Amino acid sequence: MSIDSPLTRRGFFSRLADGVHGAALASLLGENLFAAQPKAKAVIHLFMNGGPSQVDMFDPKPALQRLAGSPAPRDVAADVEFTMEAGGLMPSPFQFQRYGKAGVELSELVPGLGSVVDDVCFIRSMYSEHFNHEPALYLIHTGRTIPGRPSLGAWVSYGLGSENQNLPAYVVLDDPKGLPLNGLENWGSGWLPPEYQGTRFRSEGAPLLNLKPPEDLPNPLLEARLNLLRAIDEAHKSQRPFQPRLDARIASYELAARMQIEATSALDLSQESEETREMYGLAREQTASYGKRCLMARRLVERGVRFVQIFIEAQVWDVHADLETSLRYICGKTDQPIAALIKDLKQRGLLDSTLVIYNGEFGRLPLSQARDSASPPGRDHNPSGFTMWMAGGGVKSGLVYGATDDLGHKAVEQRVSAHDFHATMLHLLGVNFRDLVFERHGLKDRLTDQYPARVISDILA
Amino acid sequence: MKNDGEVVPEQTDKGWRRSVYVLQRRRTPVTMLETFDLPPMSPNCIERPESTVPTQALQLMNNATLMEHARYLAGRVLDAVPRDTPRQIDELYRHVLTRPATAEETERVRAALPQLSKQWLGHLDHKRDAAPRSGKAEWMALADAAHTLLNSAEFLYVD
Repeated sequence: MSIDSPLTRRGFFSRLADGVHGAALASLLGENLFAAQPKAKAVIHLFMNGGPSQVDMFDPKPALQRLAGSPAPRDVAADVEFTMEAGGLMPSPFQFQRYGKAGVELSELVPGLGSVVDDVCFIRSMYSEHFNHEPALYLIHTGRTIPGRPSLGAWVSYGLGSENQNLPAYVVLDDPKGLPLNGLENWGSGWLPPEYQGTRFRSEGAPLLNLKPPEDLPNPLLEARLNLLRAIDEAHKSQRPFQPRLDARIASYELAARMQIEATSALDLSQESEETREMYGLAREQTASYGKRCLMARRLVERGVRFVQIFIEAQVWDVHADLETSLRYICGKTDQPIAALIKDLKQRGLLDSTLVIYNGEFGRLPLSQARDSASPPGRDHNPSGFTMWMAGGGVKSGLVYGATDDLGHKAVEQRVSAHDFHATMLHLLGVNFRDLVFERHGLKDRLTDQYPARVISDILA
Repeated sequence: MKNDGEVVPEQTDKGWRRSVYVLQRRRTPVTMLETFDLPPMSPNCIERPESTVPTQALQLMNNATLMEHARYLAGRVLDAVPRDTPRQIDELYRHVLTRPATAEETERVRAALPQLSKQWLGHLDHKRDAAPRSGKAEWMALADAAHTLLNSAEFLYVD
């Protein structure tokens, strides 16, 4: 039974049991999966592993100037991870100014983001449940603080699949300078079928390992090889009818052959104009690496890839020491490419159908932290309040939603949990978070698990 | 780590280790294992799922190491049963699939070999290789047949 042959009754049920068609098929069979009208067709998730500092970039707190050096209030002190290193309240060393028609206040670290601020929706009232990286990463990626669950990208590719049969639905562009904590688990499929895990494309060297044969061989030779393989596998298959797993395995060779052509073209940035390459900062050493990944993400989304996730070196945002130099370094790498991505998506008419998400696993405390007396201060982890933003894909633009307290420590107004974020993201993709389920152990498990979650309707355009 | 980003284990002075014993770093998992469903390197792994993704096919089709092994295998077979194509094909089946080739299978591969060696001859001619071309083309063609068997569903998957 090949993919193209007429579907028999028995073949249909054996394939259904195999879950090849996943949630999309379940919805055809009558489940109410697509409850909302989809606004976004694709997601680009700019994940900022380590915990970006909200009070130094997105959430200005003038009170900290006045209270500089004062001892930490009790509830702030309760969030400190490194108690021996904790100091008093520390104002941001960076200047804030208003940007755009919306007049959103951002710091001097992100002028690029400032230039596109009227297309962005900020949520200043995010909170996490854990002050350590690993559990907080699991929470924001999978909905719980424990390992083993599917990541949000895996859920999206399980629910919606890919629009391009020659490319994977879920692509991960990790930083050649190092994987984030939790490594491959950040884009794992957990207990969802493994087909839905993120496929890593590399942004340096070969974009996909083994995309091409090691030597430059003529196409007719490669075709002759593939034909022999087809003939051998076809004979093997004809003696083993109704084995969908086997069919899928043999079909993956065909997809691989098509991907050799499609992925090579998708990731070939030399096809872009000089102006575009300049905009993403590909010629400057500082911005080249992140810029390249942002541009690759746009090209992939353009070709129908559903979910692209961009990671950044190890946990570079984890600024326990030397806050000022570290943040200048990271924002110097990322700010221009991110602004370019939003402008570029917009000018190509893709921003309305592409949801760009920027977040980390938590924020940072308004206190100083000193590793030792010699090193300039940094900030410790803060799970109680942090900022994330989204752009395009059906969210309101130029909006600031929610607020932290006067010290920038705790989310107090319109608090948003990781589950609210997940529910809202799925809603923008047209999926009801309660209905995107996977049955296991007699439960209908979902991205938001059994937590209370709500779609943040105030930020929907 | 190789220049193109592929991570490979190192040989120890006592030889190669089985994958379960390979010492690896959490942030640089061995590429071959990563492609083929490496268990999570967190405290516990409760289940070993299997995946079918095209990167696996790409790895097996294009990886230089596997191609090299296919060429060694073809070389061994050519030395063992020179000038006897049906027996060479049978040897390949015995080595790779641990069973003799059927008449139909032998015929299928035998029919493909002249096309493959013709392609190789043209390619080698173009390259102006120092070695005798027709002999090398024949070896490369048989290596392609070996490589194909190593990529066949029968070899890769348990029924």
